Amino acid sequence: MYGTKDKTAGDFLEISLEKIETLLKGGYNISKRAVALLLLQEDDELTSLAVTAEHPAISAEIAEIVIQTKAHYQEPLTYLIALRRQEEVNRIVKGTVEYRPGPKLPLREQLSRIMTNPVTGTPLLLLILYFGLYKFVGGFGAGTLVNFIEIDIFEKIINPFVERTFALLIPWPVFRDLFAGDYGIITLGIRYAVALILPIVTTFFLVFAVIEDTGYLPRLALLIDRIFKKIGLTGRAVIPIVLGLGCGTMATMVTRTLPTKRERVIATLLLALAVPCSAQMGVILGLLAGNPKALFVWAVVVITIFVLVGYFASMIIPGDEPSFYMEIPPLRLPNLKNISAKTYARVRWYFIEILPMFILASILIWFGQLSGLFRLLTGVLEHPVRWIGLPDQTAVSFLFGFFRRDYGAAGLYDLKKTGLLSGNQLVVACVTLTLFLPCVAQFMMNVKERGWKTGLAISIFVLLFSFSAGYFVSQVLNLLGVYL
Amino acid sequence: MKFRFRGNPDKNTRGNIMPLAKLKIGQKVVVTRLNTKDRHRLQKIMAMGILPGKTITLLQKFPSYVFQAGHSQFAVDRELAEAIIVQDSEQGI
Repeated sequence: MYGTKDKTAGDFLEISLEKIETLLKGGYNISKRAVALLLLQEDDELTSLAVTAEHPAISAEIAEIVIQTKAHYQEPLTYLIALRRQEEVNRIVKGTVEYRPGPKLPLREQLSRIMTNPVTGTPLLLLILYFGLYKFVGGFGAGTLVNFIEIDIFEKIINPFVERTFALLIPWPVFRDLFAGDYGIITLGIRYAVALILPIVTTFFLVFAVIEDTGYLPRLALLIDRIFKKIGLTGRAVIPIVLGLGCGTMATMVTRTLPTKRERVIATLLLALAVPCSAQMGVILGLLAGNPKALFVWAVVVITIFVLVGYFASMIIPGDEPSFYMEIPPLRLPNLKNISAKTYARVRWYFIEILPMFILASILIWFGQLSGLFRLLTGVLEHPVRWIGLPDQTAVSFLFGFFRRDYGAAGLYDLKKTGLLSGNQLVVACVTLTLFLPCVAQFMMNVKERGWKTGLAISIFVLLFSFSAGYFVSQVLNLLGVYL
Repeated sequence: MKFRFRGNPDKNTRGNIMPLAKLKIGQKVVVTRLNTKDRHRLQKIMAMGILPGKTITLLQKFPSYVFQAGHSQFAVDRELAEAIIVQDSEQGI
């Protein structure tokens, strides 16, 4: 491993290493010196392996050597070993590598500075969000592609075929509806996954892969770390949060990559509450289009809630303050082959995770309709809806929005067209709908990733909070005499 | 417990000793020790290859601390930047 034996001969660490090496009898597939080094550094995996591989008496002897060596030094052994290894690396590098720095800053370095300087980096971030997310994912993916697959393929070809086939196969309408009705597994569940989710996430993953391959994300992480620290997260959380603008379900899955449980819980909560997914964003932009003041109020309210809830969550949820460190790799031009391979692998993986959830959602809707449960829930939801100053009819939109966003929004569109909703009511409805429980798939992912207790607690909090926020916004607008 | 590690105690000690966080942008320094109570923080700093004797250059202070170490660049927050103690000197690797 590291040691130049002559230099370190006779020192305590070296003697301990040699002692352990001679004691080791088991087979480890790596050199005894490597095993001894790991044992001295108290590597969990190898220590437990050695306990089973070695005779108990030898294990005890090794443990004694480790204790003595640790006692001999003031510093932790991991630190000492890393230090010596570094010395050896430096010795080799000095004799073999020559490095002549160029006279001026290379272009990629200049570009990197532009990205990480808040003054130039912030407008750049907004540009990337506008063209990458709003134009490409929102406009092309959620608009052009969705329309094509949904209308030209499903509504014209697949749905009529499925309905005819099942009309022949299953004579009972109740069971036929399970597969081919308005909320059938094929006509709703699979269509929703293929026609709506697939194009949106594919375009999103494509943009994400390009951004990822250029090396922009670590730079965004360092740019945003200070702000994210205030809400109990670090710059690293920028990846799941940005993903949440595409699909909250997938983003919740990606919170796995955050280092502590505290960060994972806070990120899951914020994704469930205040990060609108691309489907939601499309709906809201559609509803508030032509009313820029209302759009502005919506954006300010949602961003404020994101920061405030994150801030209070970081005060309440126990655990250590996270620390941020990240390597900043050089900027690179993305490689088309890498991007397509990555996008394909992600879409595939995502689809396998998500499809069963959509099928389950269809079954739940079918059951809810059949059993009258939905009528009951709509009746219950009418109370909070009335409380935040919206017409009773919006309750249906909220309930269905949980299962099928476009349907929930379509209901609101109709209400808007008939003139039942004022500008203020639209803002209140949009704020509440943004904060309200995400789709059923994300709810299930919360439970899957965070467990029943936390997943359910987050959902109940989100439910109560969304209506309270809606109430608050409607009251404030009234008090201020603002009519949007 | 508090760790105060000295890398090379016998190295000459000219130049100001201060945490990375106190440097000016563009300053080239040598790491002298790592000063943190937190074992995990220490491990994170070590994982970046930041050890006594390493020469680093501070590139940026806000919003995060960015420094060049060899051929790599790293970003750290204030807490980690306070834990990396450096010496204002052109010596080192």
